[in-house]
Amino acid sequence: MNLWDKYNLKNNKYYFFKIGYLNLWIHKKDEEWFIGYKYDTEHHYNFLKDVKKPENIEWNQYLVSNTESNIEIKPSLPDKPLLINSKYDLYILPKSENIYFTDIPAFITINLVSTNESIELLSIPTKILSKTWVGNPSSENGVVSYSLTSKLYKTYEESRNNPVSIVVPLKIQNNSLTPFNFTALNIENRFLSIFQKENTFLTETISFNIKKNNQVNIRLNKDIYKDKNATLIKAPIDKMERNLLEKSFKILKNIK
Amino acid sequence: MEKLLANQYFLIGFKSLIVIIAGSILVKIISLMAGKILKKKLSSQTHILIKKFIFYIGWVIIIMTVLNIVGVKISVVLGAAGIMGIAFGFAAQTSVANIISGLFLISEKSFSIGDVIQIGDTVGVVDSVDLLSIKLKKFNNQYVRIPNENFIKSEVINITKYPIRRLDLNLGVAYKEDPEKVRDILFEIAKNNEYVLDNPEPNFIFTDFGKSSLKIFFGVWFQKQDYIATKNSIMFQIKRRLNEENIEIPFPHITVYRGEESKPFQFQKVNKN
Repeated sequence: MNLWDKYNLKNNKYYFFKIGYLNLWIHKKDEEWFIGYKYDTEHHYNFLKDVKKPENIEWNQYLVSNTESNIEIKPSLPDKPLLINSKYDLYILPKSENIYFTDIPAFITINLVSTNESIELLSIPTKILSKTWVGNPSSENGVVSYSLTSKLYKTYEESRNNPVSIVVPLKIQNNSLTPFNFTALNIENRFLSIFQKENTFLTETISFNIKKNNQVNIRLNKDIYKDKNATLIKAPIDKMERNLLEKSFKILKNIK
Repeated sequence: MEKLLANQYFLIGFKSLIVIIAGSILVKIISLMAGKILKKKLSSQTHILIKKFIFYIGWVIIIMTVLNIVGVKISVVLGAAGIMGIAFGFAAQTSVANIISGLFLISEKSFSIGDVIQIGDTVGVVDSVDLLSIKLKKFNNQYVRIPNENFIKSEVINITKYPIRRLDLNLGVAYKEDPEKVRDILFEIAKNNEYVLDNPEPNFIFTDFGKSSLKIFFGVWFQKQDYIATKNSIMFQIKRRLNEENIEIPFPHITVYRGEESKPFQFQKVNKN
């Protein structure tokens, strides 16, 4: 099943998508669209046409001015920053440089597609993500992030644990004199783009340069824009502010 | 028209009217401009107070100017005001105390408009901070006016100062239950609750061996805007899960006897043979 596609939905029929833990129903009635969803404990992928009207579900209703019947499902990044806790303590030895890959759960974005434009109707996660506070509880300086535990992989193929994930490449360069303990990373999703390369979605590379004085310099590597095999799926929401990235990393260092 | 303009009283009245209209417009413009400029730099209550200060000072100047036009000697007015001020000072002690308290409150920045605060038994959202009083909107849609002086004298809790809060739950389980199992269940409930934050971690304290139950404190962290959703969801989940696990939550039983018809329980000694 290729989830990321355009779907032509018939009037007055109910369509069902099972995407991981997410159960998603879409219904079209003339100039109205109805989208309902809920989560359960079963994890698989499926798409069913002309299903029964689901019960005990809250619908989101959308009024449109035309009778277009195409919708498109695209991946998007989580709507909050994401704190990735490394499953194992990772030590980056002095004078070493490595590229690692980690995956983050994609959100499902449902767009209404007409000949001229694409309108976003809804963006939701495929499972309920737990939230965490990154910062001091008795301070207004902090941020609520989604939280998950993940491994860091050497190749991006092995980092793809499910079809609705986005791979984040991390380039870590330790120029300090001591091993650097890499335990967690708070990803500011709004600065990242999504690219599609073959069947994989990935973001720009986040580069960490640990300097001699243990200061960490963070930047986004835009090399992927030059890759002819990669297509831009979604541009970043905000222009990256370098000091913000470093600030979020500093907060992390302080709470560890 | 010429006759009318020649009339001295008409001219005074006309001049006064012009001063009042032009002055009020000018005061309004200055107050609005100051508000706009200061809104970005100062807290909402400070900029509202400065706007009000400009408004009142402006009107004092307008009134003085009109009195001057009418022919009232300002020095006499000020002299009279001095005498009246002493009398007024005695009468307005409370108001002055409230104004000074208001200035202290603003400089302290303990809370601002939109915060949820508790003073005494009153809990509400700060609606406005004025020269004499602070207005709160209670959650049952009642509007409360509290003099500023009370805020200086009393303990004020700012419930929503920080972006996250802890929900404190005190519960008791029967003595036959395993408190470690209860702890594990509570942590699992917190982990699966969509409003509860992973970090800071929930707090579990086995607080006391109570009269009829083992006392437990359980605190979970959440975003301040999710208070009702967090409290309801976690209370439902704890009750449901403890029922599923057959963990007893004891509660005191009271038997009430009424009138002479109802007698206390009869006890009878039974021989064992």
